[in-house]
Amino acid sequence: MTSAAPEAAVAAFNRAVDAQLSNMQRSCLAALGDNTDEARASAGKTLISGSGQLAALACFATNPSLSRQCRNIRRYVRLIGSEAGRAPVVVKRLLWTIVTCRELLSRQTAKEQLRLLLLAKVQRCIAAAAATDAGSCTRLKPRQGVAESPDDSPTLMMPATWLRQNWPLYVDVQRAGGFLPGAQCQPCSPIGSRTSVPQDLTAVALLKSLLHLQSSLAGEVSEGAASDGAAGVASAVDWQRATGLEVGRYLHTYQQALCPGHEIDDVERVRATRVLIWDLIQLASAVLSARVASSSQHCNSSRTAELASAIIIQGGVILHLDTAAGAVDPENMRRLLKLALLMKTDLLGETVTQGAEQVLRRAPAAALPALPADLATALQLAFGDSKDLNLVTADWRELSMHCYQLLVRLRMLGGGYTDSLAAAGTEALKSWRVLMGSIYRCIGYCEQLPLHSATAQEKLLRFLKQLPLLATGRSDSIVWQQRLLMLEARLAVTAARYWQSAVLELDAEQDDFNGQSVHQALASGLRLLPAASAVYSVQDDARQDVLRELRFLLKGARVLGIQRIESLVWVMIEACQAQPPPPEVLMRRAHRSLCRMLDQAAAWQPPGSARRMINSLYSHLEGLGSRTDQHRSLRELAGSDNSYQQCLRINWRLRKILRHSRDLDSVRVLLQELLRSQEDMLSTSVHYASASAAGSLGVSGVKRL
Amino acid sequence: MALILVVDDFDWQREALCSLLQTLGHQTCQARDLKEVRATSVGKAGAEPVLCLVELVRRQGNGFGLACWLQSKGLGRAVLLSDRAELADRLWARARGIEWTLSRALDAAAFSAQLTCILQALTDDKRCA
Repeated sequence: MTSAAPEAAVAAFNRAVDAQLSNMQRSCLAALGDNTDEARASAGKTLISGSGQLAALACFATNPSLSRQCRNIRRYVRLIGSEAGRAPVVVKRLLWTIVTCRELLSRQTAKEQLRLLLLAKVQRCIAAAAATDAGSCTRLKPRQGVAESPDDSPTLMMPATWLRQNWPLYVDVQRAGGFLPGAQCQPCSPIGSRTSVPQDLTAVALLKSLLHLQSSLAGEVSEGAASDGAAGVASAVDWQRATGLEVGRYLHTYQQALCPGHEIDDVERVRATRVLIWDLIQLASAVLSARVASSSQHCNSSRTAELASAIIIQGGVILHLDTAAGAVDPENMRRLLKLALLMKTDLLGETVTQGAEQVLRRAPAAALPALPADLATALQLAFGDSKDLNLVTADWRELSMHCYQLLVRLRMLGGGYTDSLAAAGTEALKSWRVLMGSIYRCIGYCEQLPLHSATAQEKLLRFLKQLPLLATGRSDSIVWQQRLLMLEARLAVTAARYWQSAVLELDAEQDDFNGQSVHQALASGLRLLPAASAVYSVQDDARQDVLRELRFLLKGARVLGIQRIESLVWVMIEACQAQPPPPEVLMRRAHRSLCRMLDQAAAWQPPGSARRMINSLYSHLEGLGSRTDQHRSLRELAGSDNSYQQCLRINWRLRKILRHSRDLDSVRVLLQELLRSQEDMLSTSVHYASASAAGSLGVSGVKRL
Repeated sequence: MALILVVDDFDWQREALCSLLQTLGHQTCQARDLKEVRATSVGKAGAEPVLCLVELVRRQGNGFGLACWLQSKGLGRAVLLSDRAELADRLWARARGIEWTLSRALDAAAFSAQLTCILQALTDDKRCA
């Protein structure tokens, strides 16, 4: 693919989005101008169909503001459908958002700005050349050994002077032009140092180079202007072309990921395959939701939709049958790549290759067969009550557990672990394994990702409610299966982006953990801390190694938002740095507590409380620190079990931390943990005091003071 | 053949795995949790398991901690069972000293082959020691 193709794809995409926005803008203006119900209903239809296409197109927008505004448009359109949304203010708000989107589309990209800037510089150089002494232009080279005259006329300069002044600018423009796509800045003259002009270069040669540069930089303008003038309304062909080019780009990227110049292991192969499948499923879902069948002249749109559906299903099979077992079946992968290539050729309107029908026929069966009785019963027991589920009452951990049980059961039945084979056979179980695997992943994303959206959770709950009905073998199961796989792909891509940015926070170099999640980075980056036999040695080297890992873990806990682990690790770091170090018995206890919490976090369970351990470590540290008489009372309190005294100790700790910490944000979590433990102690004391008072007065029940 | 301990609080899958292991000719001992492990005679003289297969996903307790504890008490080398398709599970298990992680996404034949490799590796370790 040439580098010009992505630029053309972006331009086509922008035109398609702008055309859609323009239609919607007209509808809004019509709705505002005519208050009749008929006019509103007609405008509403256009807006609803337009917003669906826009939401699909927004998935491809590189500008996050544009993507966000397109999603806002969808929300406003939904609101307009309701009673509350019929007020003119909502329509005006929608209109404002549409206009904002069009403005974002028409803004120049950074590359365009660079091109115009470079063009302006080059034009200035050429204009300066026109002011040189015409009679001297015929001189080919600056005279060697002859100093240039300092008396150049202010209006007329010598060519050699012009050459000397503009050579650095020419070099700068050529180097900056490397960021522009295509061959816009191919140098005619060799580029060397910007401070010394090549000896054999003449002013005429440089001028020729600049003129060539000017025409190549300006060349985009004439193309763009012609196409803008002619385009007006973008057609569906532009959108299909953009999608087809994207499919080609992902296939090319996958090829490159598999042939990096050295052998890649199975883990890398599985990861690259998963990324490709998520991207292809997203593209296929965009094809399904945004295809404009009637206006297409270049592709058989029903076959394109068929190919898109087949890609989604085939992708699901590879994700949940092959890669789950840690390998990629070459035959399945070949089939998927063929389907993707066929869809690409359809979208780009290229010559259709033979064998499309054959590939489609061999695509895996989409419909879900009915489950055997015992499995259906297990599913009913697990999800039978899901019809009452909503976002408030859903216990994602419990749902995840049910799903996991069913998944393992399906795998063991289908994998021949038991003698009894389901009546439907192993092929039927494969479809259900894909489905349950997808549900399990989706629940995992919704539960684990701090970025999960209520929309995604609602969609998933809606699906879970359908699950017992699908077990009977409904005819529309294919639609539900596709929707679920599309949701999974969307959540997976969101998760990958989230982990990418989270890992950047964790590790500045990032190359160490490139492509990994924070969990993977921590699991592979910690060596001493997880070892059951870690020794907290008094030797400096060993202690430094432990400290390094504790600091790394502190960052990881902060990124993952696991406050309990963060608090404990913070205090352990202080303890490791204390002189003399705490007794080994105490540090071993702390290490065991930490390992237990890390095991819980690794298993996606909420970590237990570390308050006792934190209190023990602080008691030791405070016992060390309070040497003067002024702090004698603190030392005396160190061993006290009285809850009031303990609260007082915590209060002193808080004050000390606040006094000594320069960055309060870094200790925020520890402060919160200490305040919570103080609150619990105080509320327990009040409760006990109230209960005692109530008991002595013969009053039943307890009132909190 | 070897004595293998299976610890899993999902009854169906624990029993199905035990029946597969018995089909392969191994002796098995099963338990839901640590309490049941202690209640059985496993670990006592003459009944020391070679392997303990521990399910990671549990309703109560933690699979990693349980596997580490069983391994540290000489109740066989731990093998973690996880169908979560998470690379982090394998990495963390290794960091905690649990060398092997298996999944039921493998079919029974592949699972058995992996188990055989593990048992062979243990035998080789003993020979080297």
